[in-house]
Amino acid sequence: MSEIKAPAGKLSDNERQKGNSKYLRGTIAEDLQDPLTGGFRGDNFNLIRFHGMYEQDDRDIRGERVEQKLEPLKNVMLRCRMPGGVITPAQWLGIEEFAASHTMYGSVRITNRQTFQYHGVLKQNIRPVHQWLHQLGLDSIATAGDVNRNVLCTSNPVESELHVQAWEWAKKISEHLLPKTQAYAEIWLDGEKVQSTDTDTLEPILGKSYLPRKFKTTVIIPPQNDVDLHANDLNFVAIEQDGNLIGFNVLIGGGLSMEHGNTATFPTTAYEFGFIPLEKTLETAAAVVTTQRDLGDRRVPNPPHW
Amino acid sequence: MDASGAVPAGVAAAQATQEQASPVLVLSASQTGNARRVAQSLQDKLKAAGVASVLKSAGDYKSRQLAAERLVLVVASTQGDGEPPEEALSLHKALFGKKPPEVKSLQYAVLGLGDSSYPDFCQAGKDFDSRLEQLGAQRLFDRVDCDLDYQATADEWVEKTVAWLVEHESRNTAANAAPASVSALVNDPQVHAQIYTREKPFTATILTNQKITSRNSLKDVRHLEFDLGDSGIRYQPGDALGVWFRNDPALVDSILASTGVDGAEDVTLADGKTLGVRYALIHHLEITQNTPAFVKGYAQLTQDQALLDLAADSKALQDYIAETPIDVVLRRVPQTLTAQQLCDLLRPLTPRMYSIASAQEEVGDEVHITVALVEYEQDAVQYQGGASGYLNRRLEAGDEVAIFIEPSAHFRLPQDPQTPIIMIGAGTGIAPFRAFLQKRDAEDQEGGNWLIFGNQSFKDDFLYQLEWQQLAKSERLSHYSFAWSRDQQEKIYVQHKLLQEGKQLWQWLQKGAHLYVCGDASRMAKDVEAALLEVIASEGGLSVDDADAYLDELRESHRYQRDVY
Ligand SMILES: Cc1cc2nc3c(=O)[nH]c(=O)nc-3n(C[C@H](O)[C@H](O)[C@H](O)COP(=O)(O)OP(=O)(O)OC[C@H]3O[C@@H](n4cnc5c(N)ncnc54)[C@H](O)[C@@H]3O)c2cc1C
Ligand SMILES: NC(=O)c1ccc[n+]([C@@H]2O[C@H](COP(=O)([O-])OP(=O)(O)OC[C@H]3O[C@@H](n4cnc5c(N)ncnc54)[C@H](OP(=O)(O)O)[C@@H]3O)[C@@H](O)[C@H]2O)c1
Ligand SMILES: Cc1cc2nc3c(=O)[nH]c(=O)nc-3n(C[C@H](O)[C@H](O)[C@H](O)COP(=O)(O)O)c2cc1C
Repeated sequence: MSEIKAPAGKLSDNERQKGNSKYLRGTIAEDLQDPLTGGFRGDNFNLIRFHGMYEQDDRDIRGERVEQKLEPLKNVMLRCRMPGGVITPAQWLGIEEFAASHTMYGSVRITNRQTFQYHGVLKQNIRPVHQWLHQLGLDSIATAGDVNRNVLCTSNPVESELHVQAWEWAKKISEHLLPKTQAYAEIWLDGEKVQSTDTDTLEPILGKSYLPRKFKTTVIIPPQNDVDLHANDLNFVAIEQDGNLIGFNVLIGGGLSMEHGNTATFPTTAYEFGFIPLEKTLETAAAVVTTQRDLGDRRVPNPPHW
Repeated sequence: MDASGAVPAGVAAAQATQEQASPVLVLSASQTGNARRVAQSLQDKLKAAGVASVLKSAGDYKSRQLAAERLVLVVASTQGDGEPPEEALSLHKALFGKKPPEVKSLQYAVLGLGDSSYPDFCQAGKDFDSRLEQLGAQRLFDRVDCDLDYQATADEWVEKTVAWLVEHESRNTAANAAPASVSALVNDPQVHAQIYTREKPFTATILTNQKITSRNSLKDVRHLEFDLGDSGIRYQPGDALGVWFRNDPALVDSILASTGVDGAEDVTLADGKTLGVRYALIHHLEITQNTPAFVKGYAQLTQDQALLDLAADSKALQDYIAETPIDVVLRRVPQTLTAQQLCDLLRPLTPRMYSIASAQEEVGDEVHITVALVEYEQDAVQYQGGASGYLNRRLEAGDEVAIFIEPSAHFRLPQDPQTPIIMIGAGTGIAPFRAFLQKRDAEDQEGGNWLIFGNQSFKDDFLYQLEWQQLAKSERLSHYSFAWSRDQQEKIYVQHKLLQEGKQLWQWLQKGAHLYVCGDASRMAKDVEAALLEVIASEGGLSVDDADAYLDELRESHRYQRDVY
């Protein structure tokens, strides 16, 4: 049997950016101090995605602002990490409060992947938003970029004991697959500067260059399929015995996102893989992710799913 | 400093003391050129009459030389809140300081220029006059104070002074009526003769009238570009542009309505011209700045008790004027007037000055300015400043405006292209710094450039942001600090940045940096000066007095220059 390898060829610039990022630090901290611009420069523009943010600008007034000799109205969209989309009422009030007082539009936008986004966060409010979320017990780590994104879970943990257990596993999977780098705490939360040892062991699952593309995981409780077990990279279908979770049927390799007109990126559905007992859940998740990490196509940004 | 103006003057003075009495010193203390023009005409007439004299601008004059003078004629305007013009600050401080120059044998006379709508009318002239007397100098004749329409009063003073000197100085004429210094100011490389002047302005076409604050800004600030065509007009960074404006016809009609005046009626203005009243109000008279004279005059005409009471209480009158434009006075107490009565209450229109925001090395035959709209509401009516309303709201590209260059005596880039500069400005105070960097960039001058700029908000009020980004990218702008006053709860102003970066500031000063301050005079410039003194004292380990002396020294050596208004 011939060895399976990642497609050979020149790596995309995305790969260079990730590889050189010093575990997702880049020079983001310097850009935060740069008083001339409301945006991020060079690689940092993409690196902030790994911290859950996209730089955007108000396109409607881009032309007008250039005439005014002003740069585009740069700001970030921030996507929270919220496995299963579950939050407490206190968290909701806190989320709302920040939106009203510190975002350009004063709104909280709910996404179709069980989380919310702040739109229009100006640079001066970026550290504050992370610190605000932190004290609410939330964060935005890995909600964008080439990593495992917010883990979905059949909603409503108060419906049954099984729901609670499944949701607990959604959180565990999410945490297990998170980047281990301290970059997030360091840059946004006044976290202590940790010497970034330049070895691959710092990110045992994701690796120094992280994943070739975004990666999506779900936990599903039949008979509902609200989170769609065929449409994500890694899907755990809850199997119960006497009302208790005992393991998952795993489906691998689905994905809906596509690049317009590029047939190689057309949607695919996930394939059934088999049952795994509960205690093998995290190991399985890591195994699938590392497979994607090592064998995925790194020659183009956002390559085909599998 | 280039001494091409100063050396011959000094030589002339030296010769004079050797042979006979030293020449008369004509000292001009001017901000926007009026006092300088009067001093120049005095000098010209003295020369024509054969009286030996030297013309100096206060900024080029070392106060301790005063002890060696015999006779000085001071022409001084007043700025700020009763302060001397920037160039005369050192002289003023020296005279009022602990060790004033010895002037007991000095003879002097003072002409003051001012604006009677300010509470401290001609205060600088008054200060020089009374202080010289106090210090024992001999006053030749009483000080004369000129209002905004200074020309006739000033001419009369000049005639009288020249006549007196001709009579008393005849022994002092003869050979050393050396014209060496006659045109000292004109020859000064800093100031240059203008083809087009305040009296004879150039009609320029507007090329661009672009708002440069965002749609969310609380301020309407415009970037205006004018085509100088083949006028041959030359200017330097640091100069100001004089703009003759026209009043808003809607405001004129409101005033005509309140006073029941028919716009077609003729009136005769102070200069003898006869015109239709509506035309005169648009083109020739001030209607956007209220004055004590207006309120007093109108109180008399109406015999309105409240206005009469105000007219009798100068403090209350000042407060009232500060918040009540002429139109509101008339609306509140409407009174039928004749067209002539109305016009006699008003002053002649004066041009407004704008710091030039471009360098000809970069823009050629264009001149750029940065104008903040003065705008406020009173009695539910929206009012705008005369000139800023005209420029920002009533003109567009293609329209014509009467303009002239008002050269600055001292707001200038260092002669040495290697000298680092620190530019401190708030709001439209950024304008001359754009000109500075255009010139330094076009000539590839190597000195470091540090911009310290303050305005309300980063995203809405970052004047010329894209240009500063380019200059930073090319490293022409080597250092920059910004103070956004309304982007957080507490106020952050440029002076806070100075204090924060005191160490760096002190290092730059040690490297010989020049300091420039531009923008609001009444608050910003004062607080910035206090911050500078604090940094100098703490970083230089100096006492308060020594820090003060250090800054004075910077000022006297033209390393601390201000263009504040
Ligand atoms: C050397 C120099 C350089 C300058 N450079 C610049 C520059 O680069 N950019 C710039 O924008 N300006 C600059 N200025 C200021 C400029 O010359 C004008 O003073 C300014 O534009 C206002 O003139 P205006 O004709 O629009 O307003 P005016 O018609 O003079 O109206 C001002 C009057 O409005 C009244 N007023 C204002 N606010 C209120 C209120 N809230 N309630 C009641 N009454 C009120 C006051 O009586 C005030 O006198 C400079 C000035 C000087 C001397
Ligand atoms: N004399 C006055 O009362 C007055 C008032 C306004 C403007 N002006 C005139 O308006 C023209 C241009 O105004 P502009 O709108 O471009 O600028 P500006 O009104 O001078 O404001 C520019 C910036 O300076 C800040 N500022 C206010 N007080 C300050 C202080 N004491 N020290 C340092 N910074 C201070 C302002 O903050 P905040 O506004 O947030 O406090 C703002 O961020 C000038 O002619 C100016 O003299 C005069
Ligand atoms: C910003 C500013 C402040 C002024 N403050 C005063 C003042 O306090 N008292 C006064 O009598 N005149 C004041 N004036 C009026 C000037 O003294 C007057 O316009 C004079 O003609 C200017 O002369 P110059 O061009 O030689 O400086 C002020 C003018 C300006 C532009």
